Amino acid sequence: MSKKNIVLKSSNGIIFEVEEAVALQSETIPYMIEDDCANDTIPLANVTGDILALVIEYCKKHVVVADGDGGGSSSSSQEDLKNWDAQFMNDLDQSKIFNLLLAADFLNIKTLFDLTCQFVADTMIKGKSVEEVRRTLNIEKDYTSEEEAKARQENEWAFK
Amino acid sequence: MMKSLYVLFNPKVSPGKIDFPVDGRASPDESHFISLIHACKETVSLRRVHAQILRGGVLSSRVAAQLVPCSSLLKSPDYSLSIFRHLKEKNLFVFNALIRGLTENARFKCSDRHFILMSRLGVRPDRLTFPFVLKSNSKLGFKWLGMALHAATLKNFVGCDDFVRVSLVDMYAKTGELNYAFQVFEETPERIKKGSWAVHGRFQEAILCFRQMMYSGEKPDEVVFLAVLTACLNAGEVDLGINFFDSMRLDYAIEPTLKHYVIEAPELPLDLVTEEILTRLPAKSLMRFKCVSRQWLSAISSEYFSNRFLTVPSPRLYLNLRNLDDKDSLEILSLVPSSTSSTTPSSFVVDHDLTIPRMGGIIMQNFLASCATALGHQGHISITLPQDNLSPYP
Repeated sequence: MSKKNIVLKSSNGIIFEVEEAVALQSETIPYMIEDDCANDTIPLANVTGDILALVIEYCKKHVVVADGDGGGSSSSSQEDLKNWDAQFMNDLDQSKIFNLLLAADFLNIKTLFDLTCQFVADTMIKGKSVEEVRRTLNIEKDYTSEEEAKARQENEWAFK
Repeated sequence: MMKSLYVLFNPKVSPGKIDFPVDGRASPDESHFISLIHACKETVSLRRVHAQILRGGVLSSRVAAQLVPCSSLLKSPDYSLSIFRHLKEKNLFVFNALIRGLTENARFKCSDRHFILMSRLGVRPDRLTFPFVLKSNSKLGFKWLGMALHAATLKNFVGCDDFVRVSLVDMYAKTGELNYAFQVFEETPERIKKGSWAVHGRFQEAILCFRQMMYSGEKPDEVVFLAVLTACLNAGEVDLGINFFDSMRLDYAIEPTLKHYVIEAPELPLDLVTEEILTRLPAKSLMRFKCVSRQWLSAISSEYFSNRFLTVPSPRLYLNLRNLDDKDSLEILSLVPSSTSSTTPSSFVVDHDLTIPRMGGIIMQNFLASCATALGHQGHISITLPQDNLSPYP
């Protein structure tokens, strides 16, 4: 693979230059690259600079491992990567995580999207009470108290 | 232009090869893109055009309004949803296109949820929105929401439209509210012509309709309240509106909602939450979160969701109760084994009390079953319940 660089520009105008292999983990970016323009900036109007920095950090980490993959040490490197992912996600606050999830969806980076969705599911939703979930995700309670009681009764086993 | 059209629609050409006639100055503008969008015959080409539009700058809502229906026509409602999600300016046209597309692709619940989202964002629906929302609702059999919609149609001055009225009659008829069906039907002819008086008159009717509902002892819900309050406001009945508002809090114990507060950023789009995040939860949490909100309940019990649940993030076993006589309306996801090991379990034991009143009036109690099967990706098995475990609803 040639060491071609790709320039990405965030919505607030911050420029990132990354190797092609890093950027190509996104399935959206390849569609946006044009052959003829060598030093061409790709504007990403839906992603802010700090989030794009996180996305790139993730992609860089994962591209290295993807290159080294296929050798005998793949299981341990997979393990390392998992730990790295967990650490990476743990350092972020909720607003960053949500924005990262949206960016992963927009850029169509499947592994990052899975990671963030799973993280949100595991840490913010699973094992939480109904009220906590409403608060975290800013969901309006649109049940009447009676309806809620009924819904609770129908699914009573799940509250035990 | 012809050359680039050819390139765009040849899927074998690598994405990087797409170029627009770049002769120095002429860059493609909105109208180019719109004609390109209309020429797309498959999702792949649409995706390319979409990427090129993004590349060229921010996706304008005018272009998006073309993009969304096209992807719906191409039978990929998921794609239209994702276009929609990342759109900054969500206007009436885009909403209409999306709701129509979702309804036509039989994603009724989703279409419904977007209609609710629409009112939350303060986008006023017009006469092209209602027929599709009403269609979704009649498919789903949501009576009250349908009524609220009726009130909303009145509110938006589109009550005079025959197209809307036909859908309304249809919806009421399907949800068993024959009285209302007749009412709508009867008021059709003369009042159309009476202009401004009719507009005022209709607000009164909305309020009247609401009062009848209260007297008949039926519980209005929050949605209905919202509709009637808006009707009061538009009809100049501010005092009456305040009365209703108080009675909502005191008599029906409905807390006024956060609709007036500015929603904090960032908020995840609802379809992303329900379809991508919730599918990753174990069944027990999922069943608990049916109580979070109506929209979650509707999403979790939809057929689309349980099909997705089977494959995301990895194939899982689950038990799904389905009313065979009426398989459109009822599909309840019941249990998945907790994934303790990395391998997909091939059997699981259901040991909870399956008392689910919604299942066609039959109570299934203490149903203990252990089923072992090598269930494939999309395989379905049916379990016959022993007769003595089935008792008719008392």
